[in-house]
Amino acid sequence: MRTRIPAVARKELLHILRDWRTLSMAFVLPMALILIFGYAITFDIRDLRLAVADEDGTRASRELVERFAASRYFKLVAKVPHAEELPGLLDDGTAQIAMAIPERFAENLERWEGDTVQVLFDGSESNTATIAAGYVDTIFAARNISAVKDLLARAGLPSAGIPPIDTRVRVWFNPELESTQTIVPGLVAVIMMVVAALLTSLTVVRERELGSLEGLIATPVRKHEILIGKMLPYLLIALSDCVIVTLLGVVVFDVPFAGSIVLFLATALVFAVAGLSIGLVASVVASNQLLANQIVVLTTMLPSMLLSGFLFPVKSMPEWVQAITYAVPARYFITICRGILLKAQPAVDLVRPTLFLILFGTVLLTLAITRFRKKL
Amino acid sequence: MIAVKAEGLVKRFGPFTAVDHVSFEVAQGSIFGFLGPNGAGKTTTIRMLCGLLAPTEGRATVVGFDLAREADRIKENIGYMSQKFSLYADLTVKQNLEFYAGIYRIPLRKRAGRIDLALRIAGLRGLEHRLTATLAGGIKQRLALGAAILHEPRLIFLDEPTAGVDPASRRDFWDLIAELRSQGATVFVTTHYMDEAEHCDRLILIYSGRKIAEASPRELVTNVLEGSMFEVTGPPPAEVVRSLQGKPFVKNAQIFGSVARVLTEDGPESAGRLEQNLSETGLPEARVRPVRPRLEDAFIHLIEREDALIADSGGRTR
Amino acid sequence: MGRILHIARKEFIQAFRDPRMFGMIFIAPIFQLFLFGYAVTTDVRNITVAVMDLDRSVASRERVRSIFHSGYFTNRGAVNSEEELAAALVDGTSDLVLVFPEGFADDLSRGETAPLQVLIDGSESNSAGVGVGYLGKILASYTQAEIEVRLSRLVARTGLARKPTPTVNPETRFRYNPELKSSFYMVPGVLAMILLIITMLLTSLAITREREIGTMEQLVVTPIKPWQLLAGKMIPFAIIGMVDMTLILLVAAGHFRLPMVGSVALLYFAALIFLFTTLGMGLLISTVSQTQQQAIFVSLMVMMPSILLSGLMFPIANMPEAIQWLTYANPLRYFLVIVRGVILKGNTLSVLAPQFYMLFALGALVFALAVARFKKRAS
Repeated sequence: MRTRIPAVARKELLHILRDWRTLSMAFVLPMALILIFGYAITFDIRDLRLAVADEDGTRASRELVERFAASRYFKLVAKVPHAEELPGLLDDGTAQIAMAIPERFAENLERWEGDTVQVLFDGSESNTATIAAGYVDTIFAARNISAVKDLLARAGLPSAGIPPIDTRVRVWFNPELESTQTIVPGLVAVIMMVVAALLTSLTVVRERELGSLEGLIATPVRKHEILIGKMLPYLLIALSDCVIVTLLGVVVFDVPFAGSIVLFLATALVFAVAGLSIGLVASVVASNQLLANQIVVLTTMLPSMLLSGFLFPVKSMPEWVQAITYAVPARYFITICRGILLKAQPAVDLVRPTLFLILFGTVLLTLAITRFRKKL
Repeated sequence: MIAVKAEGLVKRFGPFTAVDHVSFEVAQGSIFGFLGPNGAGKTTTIRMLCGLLAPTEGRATVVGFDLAREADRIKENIGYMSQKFSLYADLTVKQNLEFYAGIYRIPLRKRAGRIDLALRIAGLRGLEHRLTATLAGGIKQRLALGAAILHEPRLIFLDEPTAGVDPASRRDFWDLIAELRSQGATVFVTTHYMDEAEHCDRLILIYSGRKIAEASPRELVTNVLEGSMFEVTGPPPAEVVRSLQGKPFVKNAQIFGSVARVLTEDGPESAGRLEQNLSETGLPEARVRPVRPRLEDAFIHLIEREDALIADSGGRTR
Repeated sequence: MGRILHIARKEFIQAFRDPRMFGMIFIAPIFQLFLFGYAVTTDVRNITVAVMDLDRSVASRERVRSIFHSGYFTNRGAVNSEEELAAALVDGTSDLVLVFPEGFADDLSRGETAPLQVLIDGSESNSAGVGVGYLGKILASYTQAEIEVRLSRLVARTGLARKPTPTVNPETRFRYNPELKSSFYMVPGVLAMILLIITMLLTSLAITREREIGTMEQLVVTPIKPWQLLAGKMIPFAIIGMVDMTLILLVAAGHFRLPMVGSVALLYFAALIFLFTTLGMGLLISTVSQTQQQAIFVSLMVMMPSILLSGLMFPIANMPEAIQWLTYANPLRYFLVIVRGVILKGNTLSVLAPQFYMLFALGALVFALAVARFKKRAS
């Protein structure tokens, strides 16, 4: 064997196997994450806590309240007599939405003068508030349509054609629009990135801190032999994690696997190398393990979760943030994952993101090798 | 054949000069000793010669290769045992050796044999599967030596190999070093134990980053210390030294444990003059007896001379 | 007291030996703040829409025009066949495809409801779903217009004095965050998260490091008492945590223009109690770790679920029952309520008392456990 890479790789493997704590966590962490994201995290909103001040107390006002109470999106948690009490219910968190039906509500309706209802939302959870406002609008709109149709019918006018355009929605690739189906493929990428970068981030700096690097760099071993040799066992772990998480997703959460397994594994390999290389760069550049870890958390964990399109669509971010996302490898692999798992994308659609990943891996690995000072 | 040729090596860490224009030559097949107190610059020099630290100034040729341009070729032909244990605590003895065997690309068919040899030489037979972390300090040192010689290097650097090792093991270690030399290797050792220095073929004395002497142990003793050496017993050595302070014919007086060692100008009558002097100053019970000068004496003399030079030149270092 | 200060001083020196640590500890949190503040948004923009117009009437083209005029959508271009439609969704160039069927204009002119097919790329369920919502808003304006027309006809037919208004409209206001900026939602959360990460990680690593490098042995041999050692180790990180918090608050108020409705003193008080927990967790982690690598991984295993299941990004109320019960043991949950409550709502201690109690209880528990384990190991 003319290369020293196998020797370095074997030693690294021995280290890993001996440290059962870290090894088990390299597998337990991904499983814990997929369970959390699969079961706990959802974008669907239900049971919004609604408080109502019905100052009219008529059948009409009660009917309106009933529309909301009956909806699965809302849960009536408080009924108070006066509108002044409502803000307090938002302050202490009892309710997220407060609706005040004014006096003479029914009266106005009978006189065909229409009316407005004050709706106050807890804006501190801005994401929820936006969606809740949408639901409220929908319910009012439905009520209005049926009221208008009613009126027209009574007057003997045709009531068809309201609303004039009606949408028939069909969802492709994820018929139930379950957030799990889109989250899990993204999760594969996030987990791989986090685990891969974390594992390699400590490997060089640890030897430096403990002193064994001195002995190693007094030998003729080359820098690339050290780094690539160290990377190989972790590559194995990262790919195993990929397979495990995907398997769990398919088996436990019914995520489809519509595309080619070969393509999936091939791109996963490329992605893993990119992730591992980031860790190597951190390991080579940092002078202590805490620093290396912080570098990795900052440059991989957070961007992979927030800037990759995993949870929040990239297209919706401010322009300058979108520009940054081009530097996040996970972004490309998430596109690939969703493409292969959900859409059965053919290879031609995967070329562009894969090329980016290859570029990343190459650049980062080269960076790690050149920045590695084989000196004390 | 020259194993190492250092020319004006300098290493600075910021404002601090650790190695100050050190030059020397090491002959192939010899045991070469780097002697000096802690902090003198020994480890820094070795690290430079091994390619672990880049010299600030100066050049060196190691096993025939230029340090600046051919560091990797040098590393293929040297073995290095660092002062702080730098093998892997969480691997077994055998795993450590196997790793370094792979790193040095020892051909597979020779590997088992070399590892076995290393185990034997280092006295680690039977300990192959012990976790290195569980070994005592001295045994760890032996493992480090074993790993350093796996690839039969022509030149072996040992940085304080016997630090923290018991006297019996120290002797064993030096037997090992002698055996390595008999096989044709050059051994470059740093130490601050004087008795070990006497085993070396040639010595360099380092102090404050500077070379203050280069010679064989014998030469150092005879040439540096011109005069006669006496041991004075009886009164407390501190008093003896105090009473001889400033006496013209006394070149040096030191406390050594419970006796005083005194260097005087040459001449057999020195003993008598010494005794006379001592009794005159109120120490009649002092007993004077001639002794052979030791390396330690030479060393301390040289250091004191160096300190005096520094003081004379106003505290500036060269 | 002197011993504690000595240890604290040593920790500071060690922590900042590498000047890059300054960056990590003080600049990185600000960086994270910006990241979270701007990236985490459920506003959806740039929704790409492809149109298959099988009717090709004035009516359909008019509707297409106004849909793109709304500004919510980007026109990806027309698709003219089933294959093109499928490809547009598969290759990811379209989030939505609208299909106007033949007879669309006819239905409208006859006063009947005309169907519009909407095909969604469900692989990014979030944005597509929101896109449908926006579409709904646009279509609602058509409905509104149609209603006005019908009501006018009603007036004409029945000779009423004025147009009747049978509709009830909501007047919507958003309290605490009138412009619904997602940064208002996220920034308090980031504050809590960073406090958690930094103090827990730094503590667990600092203690484990000494054990790994071997210097712990030296310390334990001195007459210093375990609690003094611990106090000395934790105080610097508590201080760093507080400084970070101050930095974040400054940026939050200065750049993100967060209102500081409540009492800042209350906030710091809550932070102190929260630190009780995080430092205790850090200590606890150090007692189960032999190496820094292990400490980092265990910290991560504790931090990630804590952050994900705290209500930071995903409201707890939306989670399954069982998980909601789990979150009662998550100190971050309570701290988050306090931080958001104080900063955005101006909540007082009386309103937030339950959170404070729980935080304190959890902190005391974790800390006691950690100290007990630490003492056992040291002896």
